[in-house]
Amino acid sequence: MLCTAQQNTNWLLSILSETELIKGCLRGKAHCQRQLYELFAGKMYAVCLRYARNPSDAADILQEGFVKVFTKLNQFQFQGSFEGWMRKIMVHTALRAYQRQRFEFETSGYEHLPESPVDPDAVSALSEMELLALIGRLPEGYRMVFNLVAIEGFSHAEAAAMLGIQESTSRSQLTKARKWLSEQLEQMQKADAR
Amino acid sequence: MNEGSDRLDELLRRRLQAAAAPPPAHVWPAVEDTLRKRKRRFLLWMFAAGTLSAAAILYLSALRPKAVAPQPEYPAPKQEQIAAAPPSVGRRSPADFASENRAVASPQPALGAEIRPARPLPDADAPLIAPAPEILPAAPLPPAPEIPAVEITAAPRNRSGSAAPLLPGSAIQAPAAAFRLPASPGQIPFTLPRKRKDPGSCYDFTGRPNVWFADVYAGPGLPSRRLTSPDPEFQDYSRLRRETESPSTAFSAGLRGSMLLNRHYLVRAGLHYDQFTEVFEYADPNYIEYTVKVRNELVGGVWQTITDTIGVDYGEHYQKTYNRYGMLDIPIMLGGEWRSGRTGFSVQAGASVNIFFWNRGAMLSPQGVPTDFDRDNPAFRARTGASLMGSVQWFWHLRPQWRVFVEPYFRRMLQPISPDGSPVLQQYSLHGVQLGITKILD
Repeated sequence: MLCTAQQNTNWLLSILSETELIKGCLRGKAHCQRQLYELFAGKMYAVCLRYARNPSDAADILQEGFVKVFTKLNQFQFQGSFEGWMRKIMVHTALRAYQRQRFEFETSGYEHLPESPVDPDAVSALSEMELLALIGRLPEGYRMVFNLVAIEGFSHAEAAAMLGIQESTSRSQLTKARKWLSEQLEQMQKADAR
Repeated sequence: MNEGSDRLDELLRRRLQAAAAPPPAHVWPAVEDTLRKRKRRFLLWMFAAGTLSAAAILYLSALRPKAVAPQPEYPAPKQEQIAAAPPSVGRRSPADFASENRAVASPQPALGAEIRPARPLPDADAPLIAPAPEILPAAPLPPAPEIPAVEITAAPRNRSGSAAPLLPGSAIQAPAAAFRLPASPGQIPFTLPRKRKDPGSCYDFTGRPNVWFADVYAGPGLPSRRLTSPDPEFQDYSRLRRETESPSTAFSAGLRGSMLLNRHYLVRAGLHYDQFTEVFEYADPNYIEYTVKVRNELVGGVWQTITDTIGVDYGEHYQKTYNRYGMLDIPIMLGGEWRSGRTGFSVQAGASVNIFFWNRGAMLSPQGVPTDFDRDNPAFRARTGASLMGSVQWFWHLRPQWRVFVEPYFRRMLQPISPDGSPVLQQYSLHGVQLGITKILD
C-alpha cells in the first residue's frame, strides 16, 4: 500500500518547491512545516519502521526526528539532498532510541547454515509494507546492522561505532540477518507456490 | 560477501530506499505541539531576560549620581539698578528702599538710574509675573521728571520660547522675582531662588506617611501540578493521567488596593484572577468503532427491537483537548516597602480566598476512557479554597504619583481541586511575573 503522502507529493510540490518550503520553515511558517511534514513523513516513517521494534516505537522516533529536523533546519546548507539529510537525522534518532532500550543481541546458530540463493521474484512479489514487516521481524541486533550496512550503505566500521559493538560483531550480525531473511523469503515463496 | 548476498542486499535496498508508509495520525499534532512548546519557552525566556535587563538598566541608572544642573544666570539689571540707585551712606531710610522698590517695579526708571536693555531670562521656569515683593510703606515721592521713553529690545520669553506679550513693566518686573527686599536695612537684598525639585522624582512620603495605592497588573505564568494517589490501586491511573496531561501556559491579572502605613508597611487587598491551560492528549492505536443500526420490526404480530452491527472500523483514535482552569480570588497580603529615589522594592505575603472557579476540558477516567468535564459534568470542587501567596515587587516612579512595576509571584493552593474521595488528588502551584502600574492616590 503506497502512502497518501506520496500521492500528495506532486500536488504539494506544485504549490511550493522544496527549497521554498525549507525557507518558509526557517522563517517559522507553520503551514510550510505542515507541508514539509506531509511531503516526507511517509518515507521517513518507513525508515523508522525498519529500525524500531514496533510501529508504536517507530511513531515515537518519527516524532522526535521531525522535531529535530525543524529545530536544526538552519544547519542544512542547501547542498545535497534534503531527503538524505533528513533520513540521516531519522537514522540517528532511531539509533539513540535503540541505545536507550538496548538489550543483548540474540544469538542463534545461523552461522553454520548454508547460504541459499534468493529468487529475485520472491522480493518483487512482496509489497513495501510486507518487506518492512519482514525487516521488522528481524531480531533486534541483526536488524540494526542490516539496516545500517545493507540498506543505508554504511561500512562495518561505521555501523560498529554507531552501535557501540565490535566490527567483527557487525559482520557476524549481518551474515545472520541475510541468512534469516533468505530463509524467510524462501518459506514465503514455498507457501505461495502451494 | 558472496554474489547471492549482494543480490539480496541490492534488491532490498532498491525496494526499501523508496518505501513509504502512512504515518500515524497523532504524530503531526505531537510534533506541532512540541515545536509550539519550545517556541513558547523561548519567548518566555526572552521576556524574562528582557525584563531583567530593563530592570537592571533602570536600577543602575537610578544609582548613578546625577550631574548638578548649572545655576541659571540671574539677570543683572536688578543689581545694576540697585547699584545705580542714589547712593546712601550709612543707614538707609525706608524711603530709600521704597524708591528702590519703585525703581524695580515701575517701568519708569528711577531718577538718575542708568537704563540698560533687559537681558533675556535664562530660566524659562521663572514666573513671568512674580508675586509682589514685600514692600515697605513708601514715603511720598517727589514728582518724577519727564524722561524720554526707553525702548526695551530684549523681551522675556515664555515657556514655549515665544516672546511673551510685554505688559507694561514686565521686562523689569520679571527680574524682580529674584529679589526679596531686605527685612532690615543694611542687608544685601539678594537671595537665590530655590532650585525646584526634579518633577520626575519620588513621591514625598515624608509629608504623607499614610497613603493609598491602586494597582492594575497582568502577566504570564506557569502552572505546576501535583498528582497524588492515596490508594495504591490507582497508581497506574495516576501515571496515565500524568502521561496524557501536560501543563501549558498560564496568566494572571488583577486589581489591587494598598494602604501604605508609616511610609514602609503595606496592607494589600484586591481581586486576582489566574488562568492556566493543560493539554490532554490521548491516542488509542487499537480503536474499534462499531456502527449499530437499531430498528423496530413487527415479528409475528409483536414489535421487536432488532439491533444490527452494520459497520466496524478499525483505526487509531486520537484526541487532543486544551483543558482550561480559571480562578478568581480575593488576596489579602501584608508587606513592607523600601525606596531609594525613584526606585524601590516591596515584599508581601498573605493568603487568598477563592470566590469563583471554572474549568472545562477532558481527562482519562479511572476506566481509561477520555471523559469531558465542564460545569454540567463537574470533576472538581466548586471552589478551590485558600491559597498562600507571596511576591516581590520592584517599582519605578514614572511621575511622583505613578509607578510601573515588575512583580514575580508564587501561589500555592492549600487544597487539591479534586473532590473528596477522588482516586487521584490534583493540586496546583502557580508562579509567574506580573507587570503593572500603580497610582498613588493623594
